[in-house]
Amino acid sequence: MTSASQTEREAAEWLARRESGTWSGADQAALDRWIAAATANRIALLRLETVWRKSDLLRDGPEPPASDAVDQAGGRYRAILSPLRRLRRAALGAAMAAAAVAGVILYPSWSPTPAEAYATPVGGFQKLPLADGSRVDLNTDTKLAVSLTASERTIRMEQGEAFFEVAKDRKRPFTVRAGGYRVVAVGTAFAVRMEGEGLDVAVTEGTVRVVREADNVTTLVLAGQTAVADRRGPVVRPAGIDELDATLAWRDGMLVFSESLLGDVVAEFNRYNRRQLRVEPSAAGVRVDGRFKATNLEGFLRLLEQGFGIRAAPAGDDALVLRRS
Amino acid sequence: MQTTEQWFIEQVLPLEGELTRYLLRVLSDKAEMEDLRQEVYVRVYESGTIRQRPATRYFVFAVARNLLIDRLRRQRVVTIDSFANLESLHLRSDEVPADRVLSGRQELARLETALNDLPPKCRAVFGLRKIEGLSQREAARRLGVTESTIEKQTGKAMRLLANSFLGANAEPAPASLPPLGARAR
Repeated sequence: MTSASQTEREAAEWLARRESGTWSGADQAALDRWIAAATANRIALLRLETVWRKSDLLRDGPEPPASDAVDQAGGRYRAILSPLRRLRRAALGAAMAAAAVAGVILYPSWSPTPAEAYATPVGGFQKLPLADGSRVDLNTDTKLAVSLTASERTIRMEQGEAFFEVAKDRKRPFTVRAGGYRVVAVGTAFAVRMEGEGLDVAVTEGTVRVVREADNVTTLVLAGQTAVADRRGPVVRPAGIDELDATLAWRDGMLVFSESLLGDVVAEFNRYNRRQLRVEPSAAGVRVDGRFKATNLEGFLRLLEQGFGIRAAPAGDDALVLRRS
Repeated sequence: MQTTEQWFIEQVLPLEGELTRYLLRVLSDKAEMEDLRQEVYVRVYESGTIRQRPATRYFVFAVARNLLIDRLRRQRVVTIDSFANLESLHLRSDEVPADRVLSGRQELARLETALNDLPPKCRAVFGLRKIEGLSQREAARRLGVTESTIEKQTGKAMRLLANSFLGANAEPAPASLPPLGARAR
């Protein structure tokens, strides 16, 4: 067997050549032969490729670089930060600091008995361990009722968003009823968010069935997929790891945006805070990237001001209007 | 349906840091450890059995343990030390932590560390190619080097980032037993 470090070198050469911009069908054929020659080759390639793809996370802004990004003398890489990047950098720093401070979220040690109702206030978050071993995380402004019987486990969601980690029990299906749908799982993990008329279902593990109550039309949603279900029926599409991570960041008390319009960002913040934000047309075109603590409105506003010159002015009780100064 | 490749990427590769520390309990030589780790990966991959999350971990470590034992058996002289270390290879349930999936934030922090640890030239090339999105030719012009230098540095960056990110450079864990000194040959 070729030594591991030799195999790794060869894999890196292949990958680097593939990235180089000159790559022909013959090159691909040669690479395919190299991969087929030994499982170790395939693995070395997978390993490097996986991390190389992940390192896209480091590309922190969509704009082209300003000139002089490289310090010739030292060959050192210096990012010239655009406002957007600065915002994102700052947001990252703030997010990590916030996460460090927030630490562990306390949750009650009792288990609920059947048919009990739970609610979180605006900005609230609750971890709810169920008697069957399942776990529910309630996001902001959420209402649901839990009913566990010998034959079924039912959650009725009235509003809001929750994440379910379902303990396996084939004899007792776990059903979330929300917005005219039943979301049925056996042993799996998924999130349900009620919005307007319909709901969003994001599955991180296993498979769930989304059943429309009206006609029992059933749609399967697999791990790594999300379904948007409204009156017309669910639409299923694949979601990348990054997207699922962003969708579920609220479980860490965070909001994640990727080039989102300020209006959408503000709508998200408004779910978590009493103080409601409005966006004036002058600021509406701004796009926001980054991770924010959902309840840290002050921090978010400060970043908007520093990054984009957007100021928040009071507009009546518990409301602020955002405009570009 | 999950492919073996996806399974390997999602469930096996994240164990690399732990696996590395595990193998280092017996194999003190880095190259030797890397070769054995490669063998573990090959066996695990070729088994072709996609397992669920906790089972994957037990499977990977069971394969690692068997290969380590094979290796010690093949040695003509086995020191008492290596047997003692072998004993420490029993996986107790309390030392197998629950599976953790890194959040995007943790991944980013790890990537940033890995990026900062790259040698300067490598980091410059990575920055231009990956972050600024320049072509190989543009990056070469910007740095005043040949395209082949860029390609070489890119390959190097790939290797260093992977090893750093996956925890392959792990130091041996402070084991309950002293590390193996004189090893049987």
